[in-house]
Amino acid sequence: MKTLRYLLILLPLAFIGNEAVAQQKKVWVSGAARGIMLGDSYSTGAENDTTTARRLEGGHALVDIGVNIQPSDQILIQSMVRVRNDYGGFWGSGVTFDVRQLYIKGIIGGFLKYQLGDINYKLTPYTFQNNTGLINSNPGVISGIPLNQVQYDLFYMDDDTWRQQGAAVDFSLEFSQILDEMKFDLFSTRVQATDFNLQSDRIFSGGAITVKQSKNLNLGVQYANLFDLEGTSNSDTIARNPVLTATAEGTFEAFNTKWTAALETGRSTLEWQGDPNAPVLEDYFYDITLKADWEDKNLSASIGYRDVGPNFRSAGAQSMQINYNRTPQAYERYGNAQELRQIGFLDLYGDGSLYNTQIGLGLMNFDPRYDNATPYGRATPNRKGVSTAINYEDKNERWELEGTADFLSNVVGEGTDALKNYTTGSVFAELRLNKMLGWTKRKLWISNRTGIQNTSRSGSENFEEVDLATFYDNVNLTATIVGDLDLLGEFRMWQTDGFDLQAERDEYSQVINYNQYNIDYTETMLGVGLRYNYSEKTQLSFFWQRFDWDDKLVGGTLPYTIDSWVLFFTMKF
Amino acid sequence: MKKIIALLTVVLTIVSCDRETDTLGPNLSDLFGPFQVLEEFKSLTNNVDFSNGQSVAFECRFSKQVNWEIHIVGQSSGAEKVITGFTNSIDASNGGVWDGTTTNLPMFNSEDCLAYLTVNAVDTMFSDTLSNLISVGSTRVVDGFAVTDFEGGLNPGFNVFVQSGANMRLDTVNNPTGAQGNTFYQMSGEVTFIEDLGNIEMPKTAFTDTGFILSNNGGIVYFNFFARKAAGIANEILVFQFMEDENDDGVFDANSEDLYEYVLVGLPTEWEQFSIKYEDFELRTSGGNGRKEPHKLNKMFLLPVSGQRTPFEAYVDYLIFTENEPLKP
Repeated sequence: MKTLRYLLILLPLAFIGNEAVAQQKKVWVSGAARGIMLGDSYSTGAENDTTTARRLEGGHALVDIGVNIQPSDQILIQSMVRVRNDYGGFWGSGVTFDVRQLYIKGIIGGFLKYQLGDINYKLTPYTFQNNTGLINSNPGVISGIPLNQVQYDLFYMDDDTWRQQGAAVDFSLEFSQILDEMKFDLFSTRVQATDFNLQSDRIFSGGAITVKQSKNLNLGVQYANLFDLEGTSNSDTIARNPVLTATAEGTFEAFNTKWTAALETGRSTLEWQGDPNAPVLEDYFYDITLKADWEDKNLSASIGYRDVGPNFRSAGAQSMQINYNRTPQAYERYGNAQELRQIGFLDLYGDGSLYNTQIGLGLMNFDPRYDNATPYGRATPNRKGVSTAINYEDKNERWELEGTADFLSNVVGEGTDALKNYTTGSVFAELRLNKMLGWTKRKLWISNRTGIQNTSRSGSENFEEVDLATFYDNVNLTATIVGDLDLLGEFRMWQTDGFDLQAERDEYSQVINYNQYNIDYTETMLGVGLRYNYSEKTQLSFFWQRFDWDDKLVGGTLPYTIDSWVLFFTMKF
Repeated sequence: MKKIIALLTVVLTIVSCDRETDTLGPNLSDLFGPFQVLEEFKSLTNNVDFSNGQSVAFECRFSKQVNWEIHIVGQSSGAEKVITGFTNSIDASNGGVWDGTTTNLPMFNSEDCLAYLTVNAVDTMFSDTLSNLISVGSTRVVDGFAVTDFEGGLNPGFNVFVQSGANMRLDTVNNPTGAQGNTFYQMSGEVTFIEDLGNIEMPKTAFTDTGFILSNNGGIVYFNFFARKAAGIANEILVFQFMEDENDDGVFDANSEDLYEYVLVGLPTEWEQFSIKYEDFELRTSGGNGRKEPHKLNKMFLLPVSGQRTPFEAYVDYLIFTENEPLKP
């Protein structure tokens, strides 16, 4: 009821904002509002747990109010304030006010665009891109509701940009001969502030020059450099990680097919100047893809080959979203032994504290359960091999099929000459039964995505052999009950079993040891719920979900179950 | 088609780039492989004359890289040398050589030595002992200016002053338990009216070359000695004084020349090496030029001091100056 009460307060604010737009175009309000109530119920059948709390309840209401000011046609200023009230804290210390974002953007001379303050930016998958990990790549109809809010809070956008603070400048030149257009994009952001002791200001700068030679050929050069600004601290060590890449993309028609060939290649250096113990890591990569589109048949297929060197380091491309060194906020410790609870996908879909908001040097730790093959995206070092994909959608949009398969291996061996092989694949199918049945006003969609990932290595000695297998499945159901009210259902399962030798890296991201990794676990989530669609931007959802964690490994983690109910209101205006 | 050829050309150009192809990280065999001795532990010689620059090389070969230690123990002195490494073989090229130096005091004498190898693998402990003793014909010649090793008794040019007290003894002790050789120096007794038990004056005239043959750079000259005290002794202090003859008139004048000190408060009950850089000595006079000039050293004093005038018993051995680095015993 509290949520509804808060919504009644917040909703008029949104309408006032829209009215302001209508009355005065120079100043208007935009933003979002959210209200959440949830309850968790924990249980374990593995022991008589008398220590862990059985139930947790909580929630919050928040509104992001962005004031957009346009003093002239060339300047736009936005300041967004977040007001948040955790339940139980109203009229008290639970209410927080934060500046969520602040930027100024404009245009000079009719051609030079600039933005100061908060900027969302990306270049290419090997220079600067916010990669969504495999575990979060395909959210379901229920798990996606809280995940979308986590991503919204962290500024993880659908276009894979990283939220940065700094400045960006864009401009382009058009030509009448030889070239169509030449575009310049430059940025500089600060990712770390000096502590006036041994931590220097760390700057991430770069840009791209892209040339559109014609509608069939694009060429580009990208540069990104994460570096310490000398003189901003007492440290004698200056870290540098420049990455320079070149891209080319060409399209042509042949055999009644539209072909697109794309290439990205480049080099990176990672060094710590002034540190006599630090290595200089240099390496290169190349990634070439050929894609075929049969647009008249709604069919596309692609095949690519890439080779990313073991010492290729690109902070902007390899920084991960999930920080696996953290622990979940809910039920951080559980069981009579109060052991630390491992991150499960239930946590990843709702706990924003597990995520990383800034790019950093080197390679972060990753969890082999959720992606052992490409934890750092396409820029994962020491990988080479073939990637394929195929997509087909019925002309009448009654169903869709998608398949992906990657066959990768190490470029150089990890502690042995024998190379690990990584096979990743998934199949997705969606049936829009309402279209098959001719229902125009009701949705009846059912989809399933099944995926596997295998890591294997065989060698002349037993200790070289590894075999780690992940299997996942996600079934989703969306059915309109009446009007704008949908029934939602989701089943999600993630399973990893086997053995691997995981690299342990030093502060310079060099491998210094291999640790034995044994696992045999399954996590599943079954959820059902209702969603009322006020509009495309405003929804009210209520769902129940059961999350099961099962660990079959001897001496492994304690199995447990968490039942949750969640009331979720989201709105953008 | 031209564009595809251009793309392929770029790719081939990149493929031709150099890249290190060494495997990443430590060798799995070293971490998880079984441990085996492929070639037994042995020394290449059983007789060595260190004074002639000879050394003893050891050899052994394993199935994987391991942490290994070679211990060489003097059978009469108890001196010990420890050589360590992390390799899959031991030989002269990777540190498996004994040059006559000592890790744990005392220093080696001309004596028979026992050598044994220990290996600490992940799940394996292994040790092997050489069947033959290594016979040391002569010990190594230490590079430096030896003030005294007390082996032939106290240098007749040294002057010893002993306070009046009970059980006073400032003299050499002939005993193989010294830190170096078979003789060391004892300073013991109890003086109740003053802290120092006396002193030993070591003038440059006591030496064959009538001088301390030292560099003029105090930054590279080290003064080294071994010292210990008897069990139960407290408040023990050793004071070393260094007097410079700045005007080269053959005498030290406290009013116009530098006197430096090194004060050692507290001693271990086992022999221990002390090495002090000349430039770290503390100036005790104010009339001199204040420059630390080892080559102008005129004489040294050693003063045994009992801080609380309680019974005192301490020993010193092998006073020696070295250059560029502390003494390697």
